[in-house]
Amino acid sequence: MNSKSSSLFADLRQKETSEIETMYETALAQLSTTESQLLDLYRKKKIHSETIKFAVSKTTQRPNMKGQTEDALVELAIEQKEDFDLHLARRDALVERLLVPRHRVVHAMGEFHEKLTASLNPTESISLATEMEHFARFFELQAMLQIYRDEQDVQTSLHRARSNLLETIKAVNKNDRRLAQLINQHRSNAKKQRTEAGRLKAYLEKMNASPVIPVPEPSPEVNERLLAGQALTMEEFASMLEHGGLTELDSKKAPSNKPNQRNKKSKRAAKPRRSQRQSPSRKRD
Amino acid sequence: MQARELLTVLPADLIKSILARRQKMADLLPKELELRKEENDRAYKLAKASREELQAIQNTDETAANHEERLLQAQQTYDEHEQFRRRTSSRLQTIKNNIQDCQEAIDFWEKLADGGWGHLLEDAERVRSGGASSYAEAKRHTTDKEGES
Repeated sequence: MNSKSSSLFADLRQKETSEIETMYETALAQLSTTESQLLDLYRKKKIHSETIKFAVSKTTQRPNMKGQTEDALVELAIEQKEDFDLHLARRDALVERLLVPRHRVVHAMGEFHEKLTASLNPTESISLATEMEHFARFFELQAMLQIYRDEQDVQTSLHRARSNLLETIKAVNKNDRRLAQLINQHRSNAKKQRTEAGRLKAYLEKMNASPVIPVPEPSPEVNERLLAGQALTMEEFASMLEHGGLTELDSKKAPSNKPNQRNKKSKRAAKPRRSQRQSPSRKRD
Repeated sequence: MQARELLTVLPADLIKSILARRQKMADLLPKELELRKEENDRAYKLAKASREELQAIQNTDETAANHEERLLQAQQTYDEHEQFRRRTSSRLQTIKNNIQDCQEAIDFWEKLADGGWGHLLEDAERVRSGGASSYAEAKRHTTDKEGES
């Protein structure tokens, strides 16, 4: 233990206390700076993670920036996600309204047109009601196809918004990983700084420790009182702890027969009952 | 047809196409009717002859030689001819119905050709004015029904 503590403070022994105090203060200041940086990094990391979650729709809650708008990329990602959601909602509304996808509309229109105009065999028949139904369906589908053409930008703008968002999220994710690395670095730095500050503090405490007040030796009268089973004051007890007496008292009071007997007994108990096989252990004893 | 071509089709154009097809059919149907009538007459005669032959065999002496065999054969012939007669009769009726339907359809589409097709384009108008398509409405209707039950 002594060798350990001497090696722990070996570099400090030749330095002045004031110098070590300055070192200690510097270490504390560095630690404080690192911890505040770490806190800032944690906050940024949280915002990045929340932004990614928000962007990939794992959460509907917008990241809480708390008025800190220093990261333009995060802001851009949030803005693009909201833009993407708007386009998505517009596309979904259109799909919900028309239901039939564009390619199916074209296909169905072709079918209806064919059924209405293709020449028929005289034995084949198509009722007027069916013709009317097909006619109405054809022009409804035509209206739907026209809407798809007019709203073509819905799909393209949604695609564009998705691509933009994905690119930004890639960048945010990259930053997120970089932040994770920085946090690790700062954490290990903070650990080192904390250890160093602790070491300096321990050394300073050791150096600045208050002088020990000598405890007076216990008087024989205290021993007698103790033997008589009377109470001791704290000072008397401390003096006995410091200078001995408690154990001596025990040895005086109770001669160490019992432990010896016990030892003997235990030794006897350990004696081999079949001596031939146990002989090497006896030799060892 | 491609999407672009389908978009250029106007109601009047489609009605013209429908009418043209109906007219073509109307021109073909009388000739077809004649053919079917002839076919039906022939089938009727065959069925009638086979029925008479069957009855004649049934009325002959049962103890005569080959009576059972002749009866069975006559019955088979009659069944075949009767089946053919029914089929031709059905074909004839189909042609007659087609002629009637065709004439009704021609009358209907001719009336609409002047621009009276509005009631057939209600769904298209609803979609154009921002409403749901009939497909979407049908789905909603089904969903509502399922929700109620």
